[in-house]
Amino acid sequence: MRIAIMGAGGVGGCLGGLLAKAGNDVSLIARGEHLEAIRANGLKIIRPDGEFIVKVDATNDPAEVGPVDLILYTVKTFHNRSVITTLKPLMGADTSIISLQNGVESHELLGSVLGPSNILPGAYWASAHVQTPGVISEDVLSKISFGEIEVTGSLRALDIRKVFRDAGIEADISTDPVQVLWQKFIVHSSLAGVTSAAQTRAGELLQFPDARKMFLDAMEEALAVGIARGINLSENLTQESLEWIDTLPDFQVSMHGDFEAGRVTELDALSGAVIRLGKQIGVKTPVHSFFYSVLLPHKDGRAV
Amino acid sequence: MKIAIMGAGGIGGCYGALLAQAGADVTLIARGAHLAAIQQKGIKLIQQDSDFTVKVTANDDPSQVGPVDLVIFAVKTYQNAEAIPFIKPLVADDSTVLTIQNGVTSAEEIGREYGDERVLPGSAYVISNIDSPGVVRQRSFPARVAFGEFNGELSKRATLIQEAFSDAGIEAELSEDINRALWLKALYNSPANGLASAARLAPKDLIESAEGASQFKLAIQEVADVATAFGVPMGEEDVQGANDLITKRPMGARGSMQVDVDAGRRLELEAMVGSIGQIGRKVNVPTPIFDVLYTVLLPHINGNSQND
Repeated sequence: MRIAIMGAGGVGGCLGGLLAKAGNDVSLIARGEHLEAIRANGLKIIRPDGEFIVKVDATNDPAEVGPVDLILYTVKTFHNRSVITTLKPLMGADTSIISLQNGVESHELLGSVLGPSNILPGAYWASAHVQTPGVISEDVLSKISFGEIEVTGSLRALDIRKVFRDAGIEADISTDPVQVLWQKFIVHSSLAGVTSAAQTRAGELLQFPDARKMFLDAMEEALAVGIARGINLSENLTQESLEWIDTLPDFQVSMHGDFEAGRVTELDALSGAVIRLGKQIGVKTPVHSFFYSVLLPHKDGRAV
Repeated sequence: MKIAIMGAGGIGGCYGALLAQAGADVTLIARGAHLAAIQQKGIKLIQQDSDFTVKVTANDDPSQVGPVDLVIFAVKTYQNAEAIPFIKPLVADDSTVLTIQNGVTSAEEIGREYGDERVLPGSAYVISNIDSPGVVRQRSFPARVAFGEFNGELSKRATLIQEAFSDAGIEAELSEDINRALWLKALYNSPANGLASAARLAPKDLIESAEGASQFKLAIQEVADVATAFGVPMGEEDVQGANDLITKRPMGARGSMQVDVDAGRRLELEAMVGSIGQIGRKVNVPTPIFDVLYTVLLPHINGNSQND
């Protein structure tokens, strides 16, 4: 399959590397030192179960790639405004786009520019980052869930799943991918908010009873927003998610890492989106509003 | 009047140096390198464009000092549990302990140990910090202090203490309603320190964003509601006044707890933030903002271990 990876960072780079190694015709779209390193030395992927280097096409200009069968859209959400229109040269008659961003708004945004029927919303669970230019380190084997918004039993979804699975990527087709996006969003936005506001890693923070309650309260808020918007979500999600997080080894949520390093963050796609989507439908979100206010000054890099 | 300053740090050291310079009989209770420097060279106070060094008695052992007329209690509130019993040798039947600490609960804590009749609640209004051992830098002028009797009486001892402060150039307000004065300070001090510490941004910079301003409004109102239910009525003007004080702070000026959080030091989180929620629960006033502030700052209450 001819595949373009828009945003070859931690998640995109890892998926692209695995897909290329399995023999797909992959083009990575990247920038700067990372791009130069991939061109010069290939892409190195370090996984819990081993590492490999793969030669793969890489460019910073989608027009050089031309139409593909599948685009994996993995840039950070704050790049959307400048990036989405640059995807047009990648679009052919039958191009599918899987959006694999944080938040719950990307598939609609992509659909409004590139046609809703081309978009398959997707969610990923991963912990991967660019270790040095050209080198991606994956701490937890990534898992993808994606699907059609309306159609069921779509052939293209089955084809794409086979390509993922043949590359050793755990992939599921969801009949309600938007529900899956929300399930991840509720947990992720709340954990990103509470750990960033407390400037404390998840494992340590969740040993404090007050912080556990705050994490639950934040998830309840986001859940209430989702339910009010008609998403099919279970009331048990919050408690179950907390119990699931407790089983994980200590980790740092990416947004907390971004705040700590003084980088641009996805605050607007996370707590910002909970507040925005709640306001539209009259659901109050005081905990996320608190996260947002104390984090806002540093959202685009550390304020002085 | 024989005076001991318990805790000769930024605040206590500033008042102590000013009192000693004016000729008062002052002993500083301090520790470590700061104590050694003071014993060797006296205490140096750097002011706007001048500085002075004054010889002053200093000790880390109250039993070597013995009873005094006035103890000015100026340690960080998280040291109360150890520092209150520690000053016992300084406190005789006719001694007075004046607390000028942050928060609204210290006078009560000291009263439980030595009897309310020996305690004067008070509040410091000065920005001052230790520059280096033996050297204190005063950053706001003039140094001010407010204090009074629990019952509001303008007592003989309170008047004498006011005179001692005034003689040293410290603006001293003898308050007939010191509880109100303490809560008025908490009304801006707790939101400013709590929110700025959580946001790692100076209060004035934070209040300039619409989101920050709305959190400040909610936080100040929470303190006002708690104070009112606690029997210290706070009106709209008081709330506006607290807001104005934060808005008028010099750009970039950090609150003391924010300085501590930035430096990875121990925090006065209980006195600044936790106490608002605790008193709120006693008087059935919800404090959602202070609860979340407490939650996100609690992991940092003891600072980073490498700075202990």
